Amino acid sequence: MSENLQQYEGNTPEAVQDRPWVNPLVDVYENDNEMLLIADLPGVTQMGLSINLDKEQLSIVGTIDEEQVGTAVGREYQKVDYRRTFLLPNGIDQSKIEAELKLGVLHLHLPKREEVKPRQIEVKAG
Amino acid sequence: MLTRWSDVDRTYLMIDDFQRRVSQMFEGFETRRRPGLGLTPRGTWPPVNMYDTVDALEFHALVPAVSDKDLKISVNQDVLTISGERQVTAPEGYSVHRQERGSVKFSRSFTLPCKCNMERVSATVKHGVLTLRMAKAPEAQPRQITVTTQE
Repeated sequence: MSENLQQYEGNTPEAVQDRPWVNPLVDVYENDNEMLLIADLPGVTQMGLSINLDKEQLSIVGTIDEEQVGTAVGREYQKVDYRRTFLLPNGIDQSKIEAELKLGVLHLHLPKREEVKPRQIEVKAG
Repeated sequence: MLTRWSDVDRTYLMIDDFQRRVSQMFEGFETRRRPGLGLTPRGTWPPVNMYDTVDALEFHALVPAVSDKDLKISVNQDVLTISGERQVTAPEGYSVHRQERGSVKFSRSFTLPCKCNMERVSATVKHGVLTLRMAKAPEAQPRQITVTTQE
């Protein structure tokens, strides 16, 4: 058993800071040309958002950028980080991924590679 | 005998390690699972923070995908109401793989803790956060009273 435990050493990263984080809510859509990932990230500015692609792992990390004004009288949300990681399917053209942030909502366009797009084969009358 | 003791130590170390790993698994589990960012009871939307700067009250609400047109803010006596609608629709021509974001119609009311000057209210939406700033009425603001000595 002790060998078993040692084997897993390093597989579970531990947090250094006690900073809370949540999973943002995400929609995933697909059409013939692309996959579209939409995530709610309220309070995240362009500066506080980082999207990383490591092989097929796409991770979204955002921080709420809120300045403290006065004293808090009532608190229903904290200054948290948003974190979520996805495994991209094969056939995504990773060099053409585009992201836009609007009204606190992230739209991530993941275009498909040409060879996986469905295509129509024309039939010629002989 | 000495080796025996170190065996015992190792067993305890292993148990400690195991405990640490199990508690690490559940760390933040509750907050991570709840989409509303933690402190609001389920079904309360949007989450709102209230701040008191000395001369004004400030409300911050997390309202992603809600534009200024979808928001309605009203004040009746000393009750502030923030209401509106968030509409999330699947983009046209796309098939759905996963849909976690929902549409919601909301209305939340707050009793203002002090009188506010309704002429000086500003509300803005930026990056999915509504910021509502209401200046306090002059009589509700803290006042300094100077003390003079009399001979």
